Amino acid sequence: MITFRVNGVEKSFTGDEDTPLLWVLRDHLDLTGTKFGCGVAACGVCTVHLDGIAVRACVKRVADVQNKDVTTIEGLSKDNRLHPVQKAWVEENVPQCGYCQSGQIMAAAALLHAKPNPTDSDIEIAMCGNLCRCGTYPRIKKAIQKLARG
Amino acid sequence: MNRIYILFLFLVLSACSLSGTQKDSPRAPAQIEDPFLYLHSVAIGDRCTNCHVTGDRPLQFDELEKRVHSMNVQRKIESLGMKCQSCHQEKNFDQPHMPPGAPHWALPHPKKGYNAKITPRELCEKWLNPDANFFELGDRRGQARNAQDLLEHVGHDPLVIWTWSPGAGRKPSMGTHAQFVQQFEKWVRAGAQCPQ
Repeated sequence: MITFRVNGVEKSFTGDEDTPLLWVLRDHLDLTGTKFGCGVAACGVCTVHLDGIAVRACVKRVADVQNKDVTTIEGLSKDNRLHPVQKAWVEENVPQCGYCQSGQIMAAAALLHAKPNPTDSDIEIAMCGNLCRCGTYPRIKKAIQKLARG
Repeated sequence: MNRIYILFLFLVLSACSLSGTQKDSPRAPAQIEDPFLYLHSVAIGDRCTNCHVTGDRPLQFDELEKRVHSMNVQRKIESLGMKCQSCHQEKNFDQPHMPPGAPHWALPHPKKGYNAKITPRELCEKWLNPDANFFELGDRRGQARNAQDLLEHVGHDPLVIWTWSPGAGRKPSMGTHAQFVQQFEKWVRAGAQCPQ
């Protein structure tokens, strides 16, 4: 049995330990905010935090999260207050279709946690693996810049 | 008749040429007698040089397909909320086009970087230079690695061993891991001398 914490709550999984974390989150824990995109860690839409680091849930075996902390988009806000990244996303009206946005927000939150004042180059490097078919990149960058500049 | 003769001649010449290529190939491990030249031949392969880079960007794929890692992956991501292990897991996947995986997947320190043009002597000197060869993990982190430590590294580090089983679509390191370790032992036992 694999035990881990999701958004601060203890969870367990008794199925195949090779099951991707994404399917455990979506199908077993009903946390469908994390989306499926490419399934090969190439688009970033399934990004969640594992012990604070942005990871691709589609390729992360559930066995590899044993005793670790997983944060999904559902757990990013605390006490019914939006996370600063979510607020900036609203203020800049970042999403278009919205499908990739939970992954974008999780990647941006991990970036800002690791480096509260990233340079433009840092933003480009950190966000480059998160694809957006609608092309909302300028607004994504603007929202992160806004937070970086306080 | 002439056409058949020419075709026959072409096939014979092609077979000779192919046989000659295989005989002279630097990828024929049994033909490299000097232990360090053997180690050098392995170390300049794509499986090692794709990540042992001097710059900030790892490489991917083999030979003519070789290129900088897609998605603008750079050494710096480790300080920007991600890790190589965000995508590279502890083992390979069975399906094609998936990221390769082995334990503690990460870029080596840039001081350990080189490219396929490095000469055997330069590589040897790099390996024996304590400033360019040190532990990056574990209790001895930061301490210099000597030839015996290197032997331990190539003999047991799962990331090194992975290079002989890199998964579908990737060319494994030359020869076998056992042959590599055997040649490494020979080199160390002979005093870890650098070739001229």
